[in-house]
Amino acid sequence: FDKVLGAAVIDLGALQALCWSGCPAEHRAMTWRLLLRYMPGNAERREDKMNRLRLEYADAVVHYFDKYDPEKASLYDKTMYNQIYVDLPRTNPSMPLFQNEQVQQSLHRILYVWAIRHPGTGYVQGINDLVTPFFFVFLQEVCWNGEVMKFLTPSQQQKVEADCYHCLTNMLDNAQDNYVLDSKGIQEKVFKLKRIISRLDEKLVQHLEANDVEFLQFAFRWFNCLLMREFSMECTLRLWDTYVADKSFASFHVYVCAAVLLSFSKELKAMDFQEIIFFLQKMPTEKW
Amino acid sequence: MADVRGKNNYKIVLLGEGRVGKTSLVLRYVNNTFSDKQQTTIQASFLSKRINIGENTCNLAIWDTAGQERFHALGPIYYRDADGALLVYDTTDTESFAKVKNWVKELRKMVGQEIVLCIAGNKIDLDKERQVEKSEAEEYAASVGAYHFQTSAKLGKGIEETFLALAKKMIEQRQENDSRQSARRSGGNAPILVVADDTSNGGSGAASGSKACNC
Repeated sequence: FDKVLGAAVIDLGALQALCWSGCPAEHRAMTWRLLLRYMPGNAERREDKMNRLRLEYADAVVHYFDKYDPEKASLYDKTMYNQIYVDLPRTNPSMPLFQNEQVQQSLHRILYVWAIRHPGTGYVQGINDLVTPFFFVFLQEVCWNGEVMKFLTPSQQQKVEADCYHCLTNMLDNAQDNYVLDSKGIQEKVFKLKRIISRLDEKLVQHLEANDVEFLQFAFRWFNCLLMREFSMECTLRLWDTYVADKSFASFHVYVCAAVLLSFSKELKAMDFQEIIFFLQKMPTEKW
Repeated sequence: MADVRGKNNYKIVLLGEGRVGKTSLVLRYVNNTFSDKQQTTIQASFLSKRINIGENTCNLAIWDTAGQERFHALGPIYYRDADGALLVYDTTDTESFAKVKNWVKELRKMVGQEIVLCIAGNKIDLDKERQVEKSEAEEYAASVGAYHFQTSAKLGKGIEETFLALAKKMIEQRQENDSRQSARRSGGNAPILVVADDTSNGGSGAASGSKACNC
């Protein structure tokens, strides 16, 4: 990593290959920015472009967020603004960092600007989860201390925010159909998951069907939140190393879900409807 | 979706706008826990509870659905075959009450008359911020043949009563459907759905004394 990242013009292909197998924490922020095509590989152009994109985000915040006025806002804007606002305290509540008011304000701005810029999907619950790994990684880069937010300067905070916004945007551009009106992308992927499992473990599918368990009942969330609700932050970061290294991660994710499901095949086959649903809603992955 | 289609298995679906407290109501009911930082529900989650009603033990299979409208496209897989629906609104939010009315329409249209409806006005602990008057909600519930209760998941008020009334009515409804033992007691003139008036302290009288089943 040191060598690849140190080059004047970074070989993104090589970086991709490395990151696919996991990225050391100290290189993660930079590697993700590069692989999500937010930061240019060419060191000479880097500062200019980053400044421009961060400024652009700051402008968008002023334009959309700071000027938000409930009296004048359109119904769409208002719905988005309020929905995000009520979801903030309910975002990754197991991590104290995300209960911090300053952090929540940051997330509110990021998600609102994202929603305004993506009217085709709008903000969908679960995207609030997806922004947290970025926030965690970019914040860690600035400050490894637990009491971070106290020591963060406003300009540092703006940078973290802008990076989160752009990386979230670029990442979700490859998974947009998950968040359209009827969740078409998710339905298709859940269907594909079922097909994969049928091929690899037909008995499991038969067992699930015999017990009236539908794949959509448990797998929808796996796609909507990219398994974030099933894994620890640590585990998610590792998984995302692979995802940022792969533009078609959204399709690859189907195979990850298949692997997760198959790993519990034996247990599931001994369970009935209720036990299966309970198990899959809260899989024993704490130690993963 | 038949679930565990046991004889004493009843399927309930929770519907209502986002953040009115659907998950909190169920968690209070099933686990007796409460957190005001409850994660948003994605699509739906499943819970169950065994209860004793008279001599019968029945299992309530509860689907707690996501409030955000985005997830409603798949609603039918949860309310199809449901024996009862608990429609939740936030007493401090008029819009959430309007959503309940939409749900009633959709359910009547898609599922029909047989599903037992119960409406719960949650967050009565925030009485100072109340926007939906109890009388208004009761009147509406009566007009569509639904129970109405006022609840507070935070304080644990009114919840047992709500689910108990719902469960009793579902049992009664199923017995009627099965048309076995057609009238152990003259159920003949009882309305299909009963609006049980509930007092704001969680409701004792009408609910427990409702014309429910005799099991």
